[in-house]
Amino acid sequence: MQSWTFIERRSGSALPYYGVERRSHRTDSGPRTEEPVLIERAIARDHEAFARLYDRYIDRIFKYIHLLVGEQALAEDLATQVFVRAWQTLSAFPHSERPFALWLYRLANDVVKGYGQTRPPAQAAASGRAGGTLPEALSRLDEGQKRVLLLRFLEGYNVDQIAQITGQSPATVRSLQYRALVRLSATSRAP
Amino acid sequence: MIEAILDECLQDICLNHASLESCLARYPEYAAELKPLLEAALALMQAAEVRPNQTFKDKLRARILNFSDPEDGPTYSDEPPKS
Repeated sequence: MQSWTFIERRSGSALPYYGVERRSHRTDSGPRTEEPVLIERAIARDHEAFARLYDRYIDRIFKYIHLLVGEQALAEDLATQVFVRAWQTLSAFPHSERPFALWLYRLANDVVKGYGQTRPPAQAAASGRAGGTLPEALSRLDEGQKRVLLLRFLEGYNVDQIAQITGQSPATVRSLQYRALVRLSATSRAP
Repeated sequence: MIEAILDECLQDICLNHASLESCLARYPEYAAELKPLLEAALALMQAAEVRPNQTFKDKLRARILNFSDPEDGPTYSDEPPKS
């Protein structure tokens, strides 16, 4: 099942892809114009171009996975799987429709979910204890809530920018953000 | 209302224009509700500060440069390059 129904680009909107520190809110500055070229070259099996895309995104993909699983070694293993899968399926990347970063996040989400479905129950329980409450709390959010937190706190977008990306109203984004944090807060306070 | 106030506080904290305490002081009537939400957000920001190990990154980059073409067969189980 495809769990992240990601983000169609609104007609005429300029989506910031990357390049601004998380806490300084994004602008459209940065070497964004280079990215479509790298993607085209990577689709054509240019390893160096794909490695440069990897350089841009490995930290962010790792962070996201680490948030979901809470373990360094496991996050590294799953991040590896994401980039292997990205290389395998890059030709199917609909780059005219969605930012490359969000395509990678969707792959990461699928890889993490796939891992969660295959590990033995005892291992899952042990991992849950070791990972603390945040991964568990995040796993309980619905996809819209998780997406808003991802875009807000990992990607550094503000509410208006998230609204532009998702095609939702700013009020809806604020509501998703509020409900996500209520849920995270409630889970972290649960015994 | 609380949703807008929460977002305003988050924005200010993200931009280092305010602290959790100053936000709560700004909206004392909402402080009890805001506090756990802002703490959850700060925990998320702190967790997102994690970085992958540089050795891991270097090894995976080297592996990427040696990925085989998908047309040649699955690369999912490719072994890392021998060093």
